[in-house]
Amino acid sequence: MENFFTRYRNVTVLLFLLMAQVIVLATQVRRPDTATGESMSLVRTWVVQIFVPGEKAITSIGSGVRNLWKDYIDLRDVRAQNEELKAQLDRLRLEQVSLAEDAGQARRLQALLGFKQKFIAQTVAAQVIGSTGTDRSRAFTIDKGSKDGIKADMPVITPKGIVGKVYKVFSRSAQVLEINDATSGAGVMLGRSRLRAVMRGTSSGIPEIMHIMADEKIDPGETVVSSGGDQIYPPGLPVGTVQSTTPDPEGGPFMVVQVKPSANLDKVDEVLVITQVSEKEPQYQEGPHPVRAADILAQRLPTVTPKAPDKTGAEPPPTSALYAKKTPSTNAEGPAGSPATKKKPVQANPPSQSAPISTNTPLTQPGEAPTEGKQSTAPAPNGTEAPTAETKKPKVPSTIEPAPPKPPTPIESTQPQENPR
Amino acid sequence: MATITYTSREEIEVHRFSALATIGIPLLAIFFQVYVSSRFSFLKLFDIPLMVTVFFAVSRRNQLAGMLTGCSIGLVQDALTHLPIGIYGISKTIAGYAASSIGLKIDVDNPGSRFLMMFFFTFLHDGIYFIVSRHLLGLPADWRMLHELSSAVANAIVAVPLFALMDRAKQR
Repeated sequence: MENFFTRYRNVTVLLFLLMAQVIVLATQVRRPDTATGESMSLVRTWVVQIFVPGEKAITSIGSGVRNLWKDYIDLRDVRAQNEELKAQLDRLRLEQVSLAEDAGQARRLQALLGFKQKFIAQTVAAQVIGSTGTDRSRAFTIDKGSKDGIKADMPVITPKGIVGKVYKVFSRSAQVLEINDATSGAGVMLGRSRLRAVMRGTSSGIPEIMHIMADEKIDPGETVVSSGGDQIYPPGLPVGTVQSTTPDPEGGPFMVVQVKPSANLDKVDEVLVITQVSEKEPQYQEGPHPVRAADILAQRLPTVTPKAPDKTGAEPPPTSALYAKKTPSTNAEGPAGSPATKKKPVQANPPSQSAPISTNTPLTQPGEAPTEGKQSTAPAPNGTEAPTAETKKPKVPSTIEPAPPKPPTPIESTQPQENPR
Repeated sequence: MATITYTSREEIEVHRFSALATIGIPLLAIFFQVYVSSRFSFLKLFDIPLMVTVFFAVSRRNQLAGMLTGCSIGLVQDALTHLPIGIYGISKTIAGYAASSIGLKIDVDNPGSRFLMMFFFTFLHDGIYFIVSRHLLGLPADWRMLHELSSAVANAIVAVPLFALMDRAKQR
């Protein structure tokens, strides 16, 4: 026996090393909390702590030299650039006025329909300081960690679109898994056809949308945005554009849609980590002379001559009258502030109207504090019912066909309640 | 039991390396791979740590040293990815063992043989990586022949001057 091990010493050691690593691999795969990122291998922690300081140092030195050089170059053209930017600013101001008008109108209508939106409340800017160095693991390291408020599964974006999610968190660094990695996935929605699907990464680095029926009409160039269905990426963030569509290689009834990511994943220098997402109902606060949503709707719909109001309550009042301030004398349903009046908004929100909306965004968790929009349904202190849009919400869908919810642009509408008309 | 040294077989040319080179060159190679490829993504086609593994293995001509070098470098590489630790470790352990075995039999200082050797070991390494990740762990991995071919050629081309550069660290 001794001669055997002496003779085949090298092969024995090789087998021992391989077996040890296979056992280590098996231990990692079987460990249930490895995938969640809550536990961390000691070897991985040590190696990252050795390499991250060097990467940070070289990155900061390189950034310093690069910025110094760029500042000098930029100063040469700064005057012409300033004039150009001023002109651009004027143009953007004009566009902003137009967009603000549209956004305000959209918010009022969304408030009427009881939409819930997810807004990016807080982000942390981070710099990319390293990668895995291989195409087999499409991930990179950023210079922010748990001490900066970074947690696992936080979405990572650039102004162009989503990049990935935080996968592993260390004290002063974190590893971000890109959306085009073979083990990555995201819930997406096609911009024109509004189809919801799951996008996953591939070994080649080109993400694919799976399980879309082959008879769907999808054109190259169509935008792809996040749907929010994965509970990681807020809805409405740009993901990419459709690059091509191919039949299912397995011969199934589906087709494979290849997506070109909006963000340049091969060259990411700085990213934003979304550390907080708030879910709010847009609240519409009436000003002194508000432009009511009903008036806007009335302008767009065929005019109907309102009938004379029947005080017996047999005929429903016209739509515009629903938004007028109610007084006890005109309220035919009972005295203001009575229990019947308080129950009215809740009862008049049938599931048939709220169901399409609730599929767009996740519902409020049980026990969650009421949002500002919900609080507005409470009666006013003087005993009269507060004339908010929430109380009239049930009447509106009878006159309009609710359009499919357009995903919000979270970055632009971080504070919807602060833009009253 | 005889002491394991890098100069145990004097009948063939066996090289030794200083402790600084033994530790510093692999660390530098890994650092270069993870840092520079984050700036220039096309560099992910190369596998500098594999070149270092093969170089040390064929220079020392010792199977134990070769597999230990490959194992260490591979495990460090694994720790920097998001995948389970051990995939690169297994691949580079086998590559190091095979490279040191070949180093006992052929002339590994010739540029032509170095080119062919690196081409072969890149294929071997990537093949083992694919088998382990796909069939042992069930990870979503594809074998892209064109990509693997181009990677093998690129590694072989870069290995020739890199080996010549690392030859300066040899101690006879």
